[in-house]
Amino acid sequence: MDLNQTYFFYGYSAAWLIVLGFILILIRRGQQINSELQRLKALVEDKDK
Amino acid sequence: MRDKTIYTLGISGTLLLLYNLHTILMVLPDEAAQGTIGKMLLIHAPAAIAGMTLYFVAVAYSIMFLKTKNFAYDSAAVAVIEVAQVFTLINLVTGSIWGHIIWGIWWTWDARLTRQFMCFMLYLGYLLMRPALNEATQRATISAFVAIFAAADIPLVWLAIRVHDARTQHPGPVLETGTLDPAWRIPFLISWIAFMLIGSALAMVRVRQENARREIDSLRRELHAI
Repeated sequence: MDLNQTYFFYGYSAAWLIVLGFILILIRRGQQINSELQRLKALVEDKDK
Repeated sequence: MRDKTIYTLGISGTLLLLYNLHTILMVLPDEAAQGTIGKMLLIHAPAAIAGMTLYFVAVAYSIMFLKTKNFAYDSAAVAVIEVAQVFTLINLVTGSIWGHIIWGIWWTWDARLTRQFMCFMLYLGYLLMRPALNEATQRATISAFVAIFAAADIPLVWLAIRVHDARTQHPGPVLETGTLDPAWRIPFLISWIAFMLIGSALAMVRVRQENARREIDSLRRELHAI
């Protein structure tokens, strides 16, 4: 592979990696939000009792 | 139903991108002057256009929020802006790699590059500002104004290579001038459609998270009241 093709590969890989990175951030954030939501719901139920 | 829509949009966008990748690598001939690296156009420009489209969608949501004070529009605006930032980042990174080969430099402060970078920074400011504002109505109102204000940069990005005396190293427009090979038009369009499908799926996931966050805020207020 010449330099031209190598950098073309880098460019396309970078694009896929950026999207993949964002998806991983979304998954991680979603897990944090869900666990916080469950914790707060349990706290509210406890307080109501 | 909503899960099904998200998966359908995401999977169809990914399949379209993979099909397009096959066309770009195996079917399309290399660009006459630049060689293989010239094909970077087929991801670099559609990413920019997808980003700009989503910024305008966010402006529409922001205006709707200011008119109705319905927080669903605020959630949609922040979700769409975050996804638009992803596409703008793809545009900046692929452009930098392309420029390294063709111009011999990673970056130059010319009209288009600077304005696109400014656009990215303005909306990054929008995303960083939001957690600093605790009160929900204040946060959504200020965010809506910032989103609308920042969008003023988008026509400048578009015009940067169309103004005659603009100091830019960036090449001129190829789509409407007929200088883009007809064989390249379909892969160009497919890239944009695939980005929009994937972007819509990601934005829908992000809206759901923003709604859950609002529920967390109300539960915290409820706990505080108890």
